[in-house]
Amino acid sequence: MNAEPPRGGDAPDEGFVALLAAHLDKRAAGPDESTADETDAAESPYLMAVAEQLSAEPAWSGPPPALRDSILAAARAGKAPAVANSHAVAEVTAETTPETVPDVVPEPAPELEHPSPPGRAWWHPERWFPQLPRMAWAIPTAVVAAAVFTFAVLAVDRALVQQPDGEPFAAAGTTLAPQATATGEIVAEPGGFSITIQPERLPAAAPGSYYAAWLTGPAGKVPIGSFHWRRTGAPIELWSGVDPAAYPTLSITLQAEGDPPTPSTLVVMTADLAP
Amino acid sequence: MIQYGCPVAVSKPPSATSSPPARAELPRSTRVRFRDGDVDALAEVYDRYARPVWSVAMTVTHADHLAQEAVQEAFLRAWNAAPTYDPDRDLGPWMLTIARYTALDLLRRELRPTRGGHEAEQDNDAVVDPPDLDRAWISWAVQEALRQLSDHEREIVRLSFYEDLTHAQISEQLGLPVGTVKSRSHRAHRRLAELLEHVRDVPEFPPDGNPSGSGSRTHTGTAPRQRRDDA
Repeated sequence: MNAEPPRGGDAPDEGFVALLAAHLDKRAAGPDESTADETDAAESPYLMAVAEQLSAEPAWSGPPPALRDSILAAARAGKAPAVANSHAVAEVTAETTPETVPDVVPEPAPELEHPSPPGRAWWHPERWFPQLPRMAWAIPTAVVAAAVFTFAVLAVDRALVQQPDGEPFAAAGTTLAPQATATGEIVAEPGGFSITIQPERLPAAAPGSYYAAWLTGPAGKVPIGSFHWRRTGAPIELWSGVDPAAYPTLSITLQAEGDPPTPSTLVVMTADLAP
Repeated sequence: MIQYGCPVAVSKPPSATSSPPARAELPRSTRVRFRDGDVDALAEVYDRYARPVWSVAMTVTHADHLAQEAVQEAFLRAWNAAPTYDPDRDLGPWMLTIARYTALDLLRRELRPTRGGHEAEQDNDAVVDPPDLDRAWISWAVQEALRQLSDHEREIVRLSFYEDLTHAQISEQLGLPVGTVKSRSHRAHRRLAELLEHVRDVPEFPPDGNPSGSGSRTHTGTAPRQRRDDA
């Protein structure tokens, strides 16, 4: 591997240099002033990639200044912090000396004596109403009974409501999320196709990123919604304006906020919707 | 975030009046001290490579908080592996490999359900195809090229590409005639293109993530996981 120009004393590739320089000129001039051949960029993805890199925020920013001090402090301490504790390490200040670098693994807290029986203090109804010991269990019992009654009513109500028949499908994680799975259902609605999906073991999208769902078919790729899955549990409802029978591949990609709304290469789940 | 031109810890890019060496590799004495465990040398290594490492981390992870973690871990991995680094070799390719694989490791960890747990870190059942392999390399190469531009060249490129300003707007902002902006812009692009002439030569990254092989150093093995007892 060589990250520096590998050609050494060889003559530079003047053709590529001229092409790249012209492409950068064209991009900088903007569409109104562009006179260069539009096919140049298509001929070499490197031209476009370099221009995109120059337009991206990371090309012009850098890591937070505090990171330098935390790295040096960790190095002086002679221990690399565990990933889980990296944020704690990042808080080490510039004035930190080797002698004062805090151990990233905190000392266990001293055990407290429990004057009362162990367990969470709030779960002792007799303490809620000490003056009414006979009612200590009556109130929580009534609350539980009400909850059970409400749940039963809702369950019966749902069972009585006619649910439209849907087409079930299953999705599997790619190598990026190998443990992720999902089940889903496609329902033809008057306004389009409702596609609900219930992921399992799919990690939440990190802040600054999100998941996007796409249907792909011979005619192209259609976005059907996005989600972050930071609060799991409820199924995700996506909507498609095209018939999944004609776009039979469902894919879910990890997207970065701020990037163009096109599918990224980070495909985390796929499903075949063909009947 | 560190911005070009801001008073930050990262070493300032070469100015228009200075004439730094074209590739601005760290002196061999610094590389020797780095190998021998001198923390001050690590600081110099950080100042030299923080920006390209950050750029690679952001390109791979697409997330600021992950990139910060990747930068920190990459430099600490390099530090822990430094005893096996060959100071006769350039440090850049070695750092690029470590940065790239560290960022990929973090991305893979982030995408696992049991992220952050030690079990997940030691579980090698998931092999992640490196996303945007070329883009990580290109981000590194672009950073290295930008670093070698003069201040005014770099500023025009930034205003043009990142701020998306026209020549007329740049002219107004910098108080320069439009013709001067155009000619400087053209010269900057030509210089960038020359510096990026090698960008198509994508380095061959070892499949196991070890930054050994041609161009870097003799052997690292599992050194990135080793700990230095820096008394």
